[in-house]
Amino acid sequence: MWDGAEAPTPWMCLDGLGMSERNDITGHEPDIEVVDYLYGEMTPEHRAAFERRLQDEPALKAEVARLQALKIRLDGLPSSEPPPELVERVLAEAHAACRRRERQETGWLDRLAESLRWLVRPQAGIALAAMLVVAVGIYMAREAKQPTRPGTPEQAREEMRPLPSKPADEPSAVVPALPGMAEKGAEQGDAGVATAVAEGQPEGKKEGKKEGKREGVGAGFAPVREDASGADLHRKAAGDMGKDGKAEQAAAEAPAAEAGAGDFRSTSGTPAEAGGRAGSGSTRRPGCRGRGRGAGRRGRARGRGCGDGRGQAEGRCSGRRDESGGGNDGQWWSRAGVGRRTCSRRDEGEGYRERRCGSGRGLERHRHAARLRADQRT
Amino acid sequence: MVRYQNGDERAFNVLMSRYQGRVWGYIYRHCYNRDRAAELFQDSFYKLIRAAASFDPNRRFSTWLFTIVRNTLIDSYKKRRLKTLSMSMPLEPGDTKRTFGDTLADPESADGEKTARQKQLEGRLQQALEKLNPDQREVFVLRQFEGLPFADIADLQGCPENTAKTRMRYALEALRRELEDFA
Repeated sequence: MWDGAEAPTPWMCLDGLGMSERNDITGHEPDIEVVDYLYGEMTPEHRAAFERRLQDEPALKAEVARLQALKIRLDGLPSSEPPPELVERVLAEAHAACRRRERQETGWLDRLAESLRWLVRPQAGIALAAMLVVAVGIYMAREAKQPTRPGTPEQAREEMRPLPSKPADEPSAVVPALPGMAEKGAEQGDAGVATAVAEGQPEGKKEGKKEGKREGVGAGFAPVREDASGADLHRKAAGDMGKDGKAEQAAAEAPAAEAGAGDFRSTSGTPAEAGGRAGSGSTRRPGCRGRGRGAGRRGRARGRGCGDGRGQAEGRCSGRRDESGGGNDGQWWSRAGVGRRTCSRRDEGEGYRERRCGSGRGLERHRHAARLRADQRT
Repeated sequence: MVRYQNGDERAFNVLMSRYQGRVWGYIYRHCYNRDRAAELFQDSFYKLIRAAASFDPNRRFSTWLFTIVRNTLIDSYKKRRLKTLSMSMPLEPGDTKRTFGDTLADPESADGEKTARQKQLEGRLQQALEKLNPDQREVFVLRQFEGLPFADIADLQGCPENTAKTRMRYALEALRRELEDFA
């Protein structure tokens, strides 16, 4: 019957009265049936049984009578009502809240209509038309820049002639081109060999040579296409391997062109969109870092943010150096890097990306390379 | 309440007419101060209006309403650290002639309809209520004056129904002793 009435309640805490709930001086267990009886919370059967009990227990009957008298007295007290103005105020607030809620529920349609109303104004139409014209113009301009001029291999060779070397004060890759490398590379087209050697990575050296040669041989002296395609292959290989964490292998296999691409990427150490694509696993290869930095420096000159990976650059850097050896100081071979950078574009036969990636010279070269590739495909 | 939730403004008028007296009595018998009761009454209903959207139709409205009112009361007590007013407290600071007990007999004493004995009883009742444990007082006021069933009171107080009845039983016993000469 006495079920936890001593438990603390908010009121007890607040009033600080601490008075016991059990303030019945007799200490007896209260008969709550009396309460049920007085306040009519008994079923008829229960009520009848209680009344029979009252007949049997005069003391209980007397107590119930006293409490009943008190209840009657208290029932006679008039119930007070709140002041009318207070009720009016509450009602006004309730109605206002109701209207606010309605406005909120339907308001979003009105707000949407309001926000779109400007579209029907003439200025808006003119502005939209102008935007459309500009967009079409940009699109057409881009289309016009697509390489459409067919070229012969001789023309291509002529156009692909290396650009003048970069100024001496321009930061270059860590590994300078070895003497005679240009000639050798020009003959063999395997610039990657030289770089790998210079970087002092035994595995990379070996593999790089192998790959580079293969590439170079295939390219011959009109290497643009061959290099490019070889670069594609190796870029892919390097990228895939790099993803798999086979950085060393990737780096070793990365041909010159691919390395050139890396060069771009390893620019300033800021994250670049292409960073991850290029087989950045090569960062795990400590020996490559130096090269990566070198390449990075170069890349920085081009203002491309590449990313996380100095190592990422490393494989490509060496490759680029190869190409540098084969071509020039790597500057124009960086087109390969550009090409790598634009690998997806390249497949589409356009060389736009390099404009952003590479130097202007590299851009030109690569553009021709892409053009030639496109010709070859057709 | 569901109708009011659905945007029927007039539904709230019905609610007010049905519950305003009970809420007022509950609040008034806790603080015995008309101004304060008015403030708490308004706060309670404003809270109810703001919380109208969250009302669960499966729940009894009276329990929900009195829970809001009760929480408002508790919050105000916490804020002001006020206890129920004492009958012997002067009505105004420095006023030695009139006490709260004088005014409590009848909050609407101006109408002159109540007998002096009723006023006396009201005053004595307030004094007796002050002596009660707050939970007992709450149960008593809610059941005796506001007509809430014990099940709802128990729900409100977060206790078993029998505990609410026990509290009522003790409250009645204490009041009977205090108001013996009136009974």
